[in-house]
Amino acid sequence: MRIKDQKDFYAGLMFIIFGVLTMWLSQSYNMGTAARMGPGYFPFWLGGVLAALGAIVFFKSFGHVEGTVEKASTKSSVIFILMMVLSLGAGAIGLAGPNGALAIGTIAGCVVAIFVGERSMGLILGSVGLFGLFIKAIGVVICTLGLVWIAAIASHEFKWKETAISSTVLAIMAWAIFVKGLGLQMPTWVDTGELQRMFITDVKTDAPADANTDAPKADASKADAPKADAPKADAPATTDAPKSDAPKQ
Amino acid sequence: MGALIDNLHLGFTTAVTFQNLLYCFFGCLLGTLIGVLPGIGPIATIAMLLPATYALPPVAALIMLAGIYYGAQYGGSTTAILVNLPGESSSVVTMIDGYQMARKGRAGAALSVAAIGSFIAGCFGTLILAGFAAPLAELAFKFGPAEYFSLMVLGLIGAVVLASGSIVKAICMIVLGLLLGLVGTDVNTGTSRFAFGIPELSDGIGFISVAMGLFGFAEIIVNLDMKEDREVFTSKVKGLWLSWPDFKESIGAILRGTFIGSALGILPGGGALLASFASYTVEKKFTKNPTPRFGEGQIRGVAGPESANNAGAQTSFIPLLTLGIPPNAVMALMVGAMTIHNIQPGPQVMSSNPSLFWGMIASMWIGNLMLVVLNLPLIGMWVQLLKVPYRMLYPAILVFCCIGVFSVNNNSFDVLITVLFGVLGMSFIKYAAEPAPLLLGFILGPMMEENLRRAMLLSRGDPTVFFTRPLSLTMLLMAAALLAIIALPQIAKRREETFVED
Repeated sequence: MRIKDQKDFYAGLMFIIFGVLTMWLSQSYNMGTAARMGPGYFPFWLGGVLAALGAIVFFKSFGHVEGTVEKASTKSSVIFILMMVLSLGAGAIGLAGPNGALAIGTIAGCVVAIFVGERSMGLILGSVGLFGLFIKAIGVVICTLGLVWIAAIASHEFKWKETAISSTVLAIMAWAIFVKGLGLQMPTWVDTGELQRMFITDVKTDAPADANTDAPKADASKADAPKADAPKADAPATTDAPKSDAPKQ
Repeated sequence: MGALIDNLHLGFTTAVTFQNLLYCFFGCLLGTLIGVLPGIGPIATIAMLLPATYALPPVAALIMLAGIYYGAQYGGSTTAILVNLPGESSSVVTMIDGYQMARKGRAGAALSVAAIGSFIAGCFGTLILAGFAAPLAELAFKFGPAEYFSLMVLGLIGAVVLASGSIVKAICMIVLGLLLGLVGTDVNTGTSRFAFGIPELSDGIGFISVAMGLFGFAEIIVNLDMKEDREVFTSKVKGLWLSWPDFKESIGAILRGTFIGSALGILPGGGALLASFASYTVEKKFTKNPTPRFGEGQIRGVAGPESANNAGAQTSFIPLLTLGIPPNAVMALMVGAMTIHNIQPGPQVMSSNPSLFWGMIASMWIGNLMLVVLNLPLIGMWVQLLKVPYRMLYPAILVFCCIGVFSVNNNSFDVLITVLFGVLGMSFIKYAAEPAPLLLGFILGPMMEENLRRAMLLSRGDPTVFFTRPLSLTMLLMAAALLAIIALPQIAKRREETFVED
């Protein structure tokens, strides 16, 4: 008995893990009864169904093998787990608020992805992660430029001049369409206050002076060294600072 | 009948205002554009534009979003025929014979039969939508929570048919989607579930973030990882009119495709993709001694599936508008669009918002007319567009996606979480697990739990309630039958063949 279908083997494993995790997490919520279901009831049993079905997929992936087995790459799953662990870990030990912690996890994961051979995934998603991290602080124009440059490198046919033109055009278009045309509430340009809040410990909005030296440095390092951001972003931003996001509707 | 005419009259008066015509045109144009361009589909586009429609009146917004969906069905065929790439997932089948026709210098005939077939199917689909919507909505008012729960089970099982590959894996993806949909505050008790104490998650994971990550970003990465060869037949497109023999040859296929598409579109889990596969299979079976053979440029292989996918795209609005249950991922996005505008999808839309309901239906017919004009005489323009290399295209798609996700709540968290879903989407692709059922489960998760709870509360914890109520039982039996049918070894094999069809 060997693994006859690697894709099913890992897919089954993934479903089992998700299912068991859900069941385990659901136990901390009130179960209730069938007539009066608590918040834990539905997810607990649904998690059970997922784990059971996952087990079917898993066990059916074993069998008699003739010839070679098609390999299934697990890199993206490993990176996903890494991102989750880093994000939740960073949040748990209080390195950063929810946004910062998620940024640390995802961007670090993308950097790892680039080094383990998932280059286009690392670059594309890394550029998205950086966009998400910086959009509030440096605005849509510069973020678009950065996004296009990093993403363009992922292509096999990357060209400097072409990217210079297309990034400029897209940055102008993004501003013209979304900010001017549709009138969306978007951060357009660098917001130094927000930048300070992101990177400097214990900054109070009324004391920006001592932060000036650090802000430009942080800004400059962002363009080409995504890794450098991760440790910086984790500066224990006073817990409510990154939460200045508009309350969700 | 008189009522129907009155309603359609109301619909046309709503749709034929300058503003609504403009947005209808804009939607169709955009739909054709993304249909033509491989690597971006209606799911990503509608998700991208959702926040932007916030500023529009609801009718205009929905007319435009609907236009994107059926417009994409038209546009997809152009790319399938001229480049042998599926511009749209539902035109995968069109590639088989359409591209062969183009290679034999019959690109013009293939393009025009696709457009004319789509138009006929679109008109018919719109009529079905107008005719069936009222009685179905009537029925929906008789639904209690048990019926809704069973209907959702049926819809989700239907979605399994849509997925290629293993049935069990597809059901797993649905369940995973249902669970992801539960993240956030439980409406009944206020308990925060699976949110890890993160305030941004208390309203649940943003639907758009999930859709973008799983579909938008993962697709770009896959496209970048595989080098593509594009051979565009640009110079050979001429004779953009259907000759009489060609028309006679294909009209049967068009009509059959229209019927198949309309029927499959109504079924939960159906829609454009399934319709085109089914139509191709039927044509292949029913045509005796085809010359040229299927796979070598048979015109019916283009006419049937193209009509079917457009009819399916149209009628898949029926379950959404009458029952409030989205039958596929695009309709799930339409739920999002309606919610943004404070419209609760379901049978009450027709009575509380008649101008919206009938206006949307009328706009679909107008949109189909616009699409014929957009696609046939202007084909040269779309062909030019195909010459834009992908390396120029994807950064632009990425920019619009990121801004779109961010602007939903002006929240960085939503953007960052798409990265997680992008990586997850890559894992799904690597393990051959289709993400579309997951998205459907994600939308239905909270609704399903809510109805299950209510049904069980009403029956005092007696689960037999789902089997004793006739409507509910019927739907559960249908779901079971559907599962049994696709699980039958013979059909399972046939299904496998349809999806890998050379």
